[in-house]
Amino acid sequence: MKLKALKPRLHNAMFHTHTVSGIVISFALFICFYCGAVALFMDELYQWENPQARVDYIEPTTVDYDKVINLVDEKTKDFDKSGFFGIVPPSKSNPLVTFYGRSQREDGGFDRLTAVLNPKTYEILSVGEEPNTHMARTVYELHYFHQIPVIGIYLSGFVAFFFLFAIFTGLLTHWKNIINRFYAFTTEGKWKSIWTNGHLSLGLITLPFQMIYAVTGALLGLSILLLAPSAILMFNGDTTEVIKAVVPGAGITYDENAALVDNGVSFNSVFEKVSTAYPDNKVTYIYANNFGKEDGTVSVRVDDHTGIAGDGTFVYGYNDGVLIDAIEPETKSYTEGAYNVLIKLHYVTYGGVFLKIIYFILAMITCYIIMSGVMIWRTARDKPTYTDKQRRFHHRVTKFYLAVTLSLFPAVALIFVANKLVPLEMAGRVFYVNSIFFSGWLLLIVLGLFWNSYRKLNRNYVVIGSIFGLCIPVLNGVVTGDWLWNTISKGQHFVYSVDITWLIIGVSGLLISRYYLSSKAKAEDTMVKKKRVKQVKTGPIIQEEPQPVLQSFSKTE
Amino acid sequence: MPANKKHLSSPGQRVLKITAGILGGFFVTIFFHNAVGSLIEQKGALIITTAYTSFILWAALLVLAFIAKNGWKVWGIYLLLIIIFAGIIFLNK
Repeated sequence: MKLKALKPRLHNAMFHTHTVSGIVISFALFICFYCGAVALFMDELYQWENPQARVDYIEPTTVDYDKVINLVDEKTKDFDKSGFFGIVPPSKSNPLVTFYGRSQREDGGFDRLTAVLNPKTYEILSVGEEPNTHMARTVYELHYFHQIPVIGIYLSGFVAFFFLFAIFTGLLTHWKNIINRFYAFTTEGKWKSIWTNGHLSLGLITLPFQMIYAVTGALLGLSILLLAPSAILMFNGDTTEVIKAVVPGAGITYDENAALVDNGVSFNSVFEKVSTAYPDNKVTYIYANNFGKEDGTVSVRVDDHTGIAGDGTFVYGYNDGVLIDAIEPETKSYTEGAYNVLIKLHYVTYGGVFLKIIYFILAMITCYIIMSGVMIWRTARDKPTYTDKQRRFHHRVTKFYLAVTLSLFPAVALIFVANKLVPLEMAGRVFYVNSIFFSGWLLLIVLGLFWNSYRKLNRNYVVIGSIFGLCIPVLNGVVTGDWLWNTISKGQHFVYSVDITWLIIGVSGLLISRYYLSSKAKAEDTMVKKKRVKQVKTGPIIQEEPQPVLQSFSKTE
Repeated sequence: MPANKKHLSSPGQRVLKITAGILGGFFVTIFFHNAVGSLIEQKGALIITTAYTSFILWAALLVLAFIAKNGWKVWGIYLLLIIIFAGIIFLNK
């Protein structure tokens, strides 16, 4: 099957916009996909990052949630019970109970309040504004640039939107070759065609996956752009009308001065009611608004983590325990379910852990596509038709790009190392772990700018990342005593899989860099030969002696 | 091979196309969806559908702006669409 080529003007217009939009967003998009891929396993990583969570899992129905609230209330004098607060019940990946709420400061303002408890002994493990471990969450927050104040999330939304644009223009640009190049995939020949082949074939394979993330990413980042105008145009400026369509209970208004009620419903009774009605759908969150007052509510979120529509929400009145509003799993309407499908598609809270692994692989392939796009851009411009100044600029952009993106691998390994190096008992440890991660990443980037060849840059980052990776299971063994052989025999699969994954990554990374990246690869040899032949033919190119800064990996080192 | 310069538009045209695609495209998207919303009863369902379709439509309009030869024409067409959709919203209010 042969697809018709676009008209030259159209092709060039699409090509140019694809290149420009792609290069502009490439840095940010790579970070989004790379960190997002790691953050897919945020729940699965929890036991590894917090050794206190390495306890036996108990059924969430046996936990006394009212006791949890009372314990937090006793421990923190300033806990604001009438504000919003909620509890995450124990799960297989995180067997602890997590409490989220807010505490009132003396000046009347509010602070976040997070408490972690052992559901068996009811011991409060940590309490304060932040939980004591934040490792996977830091990586997760980086994937939507949460560290950039205020605009971070919108920035990530625009990156996702321009990614969608780049998908469209890319599809049109490569339209003619998309099928025949797909079957002609090869990793040999000139670097330009290696990058282009990878970009095209893998791009086609991951196209549906990328569409999902472009649309859902843009939605999660820029939902305000859709909500606000709709509220004005359809509901006379009332945003709650719009949100009510998506979130049950969001339309309820709470009166701060409502009368106090003594014996309203308890968390336990609501929890029991929902979990007996839906035994297959685990409760993921139980939360209260205006608790202890006449118009207060207690709500429950459930999810079976299997079906694409397996989630639901139930809102009960505090005073009388009557079901006020509900989205029932599996039987919900289009309006109630369709939005959460998008969220599930983004967070992969369906299908199970194997689907997450598939998503992870697809995200890594997407990272390769982004990178190969930059390499195509650079290789196509590595020609005498460009002035030295231009070529030096292209080289610098590429080098900077590669330093920022490839250093993420050792940087992510570094945050795992930092998580174990900073003692768990230390006050404000999250800050230290994050500082090690971000300053380490910065240092790695700066270091990378001194390595002038791309090959060396890549190899060095792989080596550094692999060494950090090998340290991870060792450090976990030394610090917590849970060595690989202990965790597998004790059945702590979550801890074991993190350690073994890093061990495999570390060993294979070192092997790859030893036997593949540092030796003169076949492709390189053939390429150099070809280039020499070509140079003889074309003549003038020989006269131009490449300056050190222009030396790409295609030249022998 | 980078794109051939002779097929690319002048800087002025480029500015027109970018603004038409991003700003004009956004407002066409919003007004289109709300015009549909003003015609039907299930406004909630429409808003949910908006979550799926609006970014795709917006990106498509941005692509169309670059495909067009004349940036002024793109602005004209998009403005006309906005006025038509706004009219529908106004009439059904």
